[in-house]
Amino acid sequence: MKENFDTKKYVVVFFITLGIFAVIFLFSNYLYQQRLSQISTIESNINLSILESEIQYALLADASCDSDEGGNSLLINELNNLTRRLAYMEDQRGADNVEVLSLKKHYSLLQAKDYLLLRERTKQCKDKPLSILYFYSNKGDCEDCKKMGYVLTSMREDFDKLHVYAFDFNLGLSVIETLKSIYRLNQELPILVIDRKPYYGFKTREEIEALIPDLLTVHATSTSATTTTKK
Amino acid sequence: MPQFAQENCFTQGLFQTIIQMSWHLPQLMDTFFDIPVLVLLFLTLYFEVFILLTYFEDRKEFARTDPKKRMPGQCPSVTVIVPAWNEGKTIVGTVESLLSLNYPKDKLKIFIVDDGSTDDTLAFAKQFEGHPQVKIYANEKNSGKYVAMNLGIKMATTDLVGCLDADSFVDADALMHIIPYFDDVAVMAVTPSVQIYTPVSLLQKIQSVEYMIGAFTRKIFSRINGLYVTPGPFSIYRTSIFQTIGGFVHGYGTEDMEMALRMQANRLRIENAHDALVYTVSPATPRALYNQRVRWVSGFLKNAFFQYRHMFFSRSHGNLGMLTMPFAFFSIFIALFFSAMYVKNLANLAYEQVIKYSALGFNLNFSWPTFDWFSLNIGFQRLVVYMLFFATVFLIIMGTRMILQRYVLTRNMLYFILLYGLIAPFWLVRSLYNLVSAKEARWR
Repeated sequence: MKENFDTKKYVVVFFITLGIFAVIFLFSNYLYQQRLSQISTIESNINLSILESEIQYALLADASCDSDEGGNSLLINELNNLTRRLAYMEDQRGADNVEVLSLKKHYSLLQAKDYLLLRERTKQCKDKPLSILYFYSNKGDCEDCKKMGYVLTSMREDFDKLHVYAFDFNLGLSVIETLKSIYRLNQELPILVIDRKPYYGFKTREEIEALIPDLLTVHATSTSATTTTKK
Repeated sequence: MPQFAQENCFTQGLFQTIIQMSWHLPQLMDTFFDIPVLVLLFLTLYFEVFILLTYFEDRKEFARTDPKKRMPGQCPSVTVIVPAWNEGKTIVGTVESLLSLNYPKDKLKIFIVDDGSTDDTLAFAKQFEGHPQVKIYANEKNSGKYVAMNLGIKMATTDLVGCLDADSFVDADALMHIIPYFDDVAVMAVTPSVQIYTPVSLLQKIQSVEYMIGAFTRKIFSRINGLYVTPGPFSIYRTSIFQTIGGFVHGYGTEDMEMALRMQANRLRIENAHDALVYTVSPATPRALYNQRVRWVSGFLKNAFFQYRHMFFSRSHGNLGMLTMPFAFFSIFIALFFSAMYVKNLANLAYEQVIKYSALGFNLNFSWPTFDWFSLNIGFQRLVVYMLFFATVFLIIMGTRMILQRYVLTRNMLYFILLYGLIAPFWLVRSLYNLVSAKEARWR
């Protein structure tokens, strides 16, 4: 057995603990810097993607409407990645986190650009865009936003052609403010804008499907095509 | 009447809640200047560093070895008292395990003391009547374990006296592992390593992991002379100490804890023989476990505050006064804090599922949650908790390794990690209530 009370050991343990705290603090700071540079890269990529989408739009102006390109825009992969990251980041760090807010602003811009691209493409081909603009808030003033989010996520997973663009109503981004004034939106969240018409309050999946009849046709065609191929 | 993990049930509660918190840290901990949380994390880390450093200093002492052979003349005489109250189902096994000890028969006496049992305990005990090593005593009415122990001590004429609760069973080599510690004349008591006897129910499986960690931390505490309980299952004492400091007292229902604290107060050394294995029947139902733990934790708090408060932060009482006793007390609050956060996060998770269900209905499509390094919280406090998590997992693994003699990951560890933090707060809160509402306070 060791000495009953060893002052030196208490002091050594204190400094080891302090040292561990210091190392963790420095490591946390290092990781934070890395994270900032990652975010900066993502934001640069978003800017690049927006530029690419401009070019894509110009190119698609000459493309045949039979081409599938218009339905799967260049930005969709980038958007899907960001959606996942943002949802997780909001959950883990809170909606007020500076990194979350910065990324969310870029994400909103990217979505707005994708929405415009999709709309122009469908106008050109005289189609109806299979898109939903979804306005939410996570400041505690929207009880049904979580529920609405689950419904829309599930629909996005089931309908490849459906584009859901989620905007934080209170983000304070000029693009969102413009969308709010174009569609004359009141703060009665959640809000869905389908075919330029706003719908207030929670909507079930069935109600949304009823508002976009083309959705079921596309889905049925897709299912039928898959079944035929398998045969 | 097993009383083993009193001194560890606080720290185990703490360790497992740390694990849970590393998965579900609340957002309030993301504020760096949240001083109380920082202090709490610092204290917890300090304690873990202290015990890990002690382990690495004395690593060789934690190995399990075969008992050294001794000539009969080198074996001190021992009396093992078996206090029993309504233990008819287990007493025969308890006594038979004692009779099977690898120890010279003429040096080992067994005193069965029936403490006014109302079942067939005495009838079963009488099976051993006439056995040259066994004597049977019976109290007419139930007076408490400490009375039964004192009766046995009074009748004992051996060098050493021990106790074995009548629902516990000893490994054949247990006594031979304990005896060498008494070669050091300064050692006055030796505690064994208590494990759960054939854990069957989920609660028992959780306790089996708790007891293994307990065995490891008990060994560490013994290395720094910080033990404050000599558990009922097979703690062995020098008979002479009872003349010096007196026999057992009620000790708020934890006579073994009171005895250890009294020994420490009188600077009588307690050692731990980690390879002396004893198996005890553990509570199988939540109610029985709750009652047992309330008794243990309340017993510790009342003994510590009403009888031995002067030992807290007393340098003259060494590591016991400066580290293990204060931390046992503070860890109750640390464990409650972390458990509250764990429950809060589980409630949030359940709320999310309810919302999801109300939005989509019952959905059979199960998908594993995705993990993205980018989204990992790298806040300072979160990283400290990850650190504590790894230190705690290390303790769990080392505890099981010390007992099972191999590195192993078991399902019981998972049960312990996930569930212990949900049940421990019940007895911790009740015990604190018992402390503040106690009318029998006798402050020194």
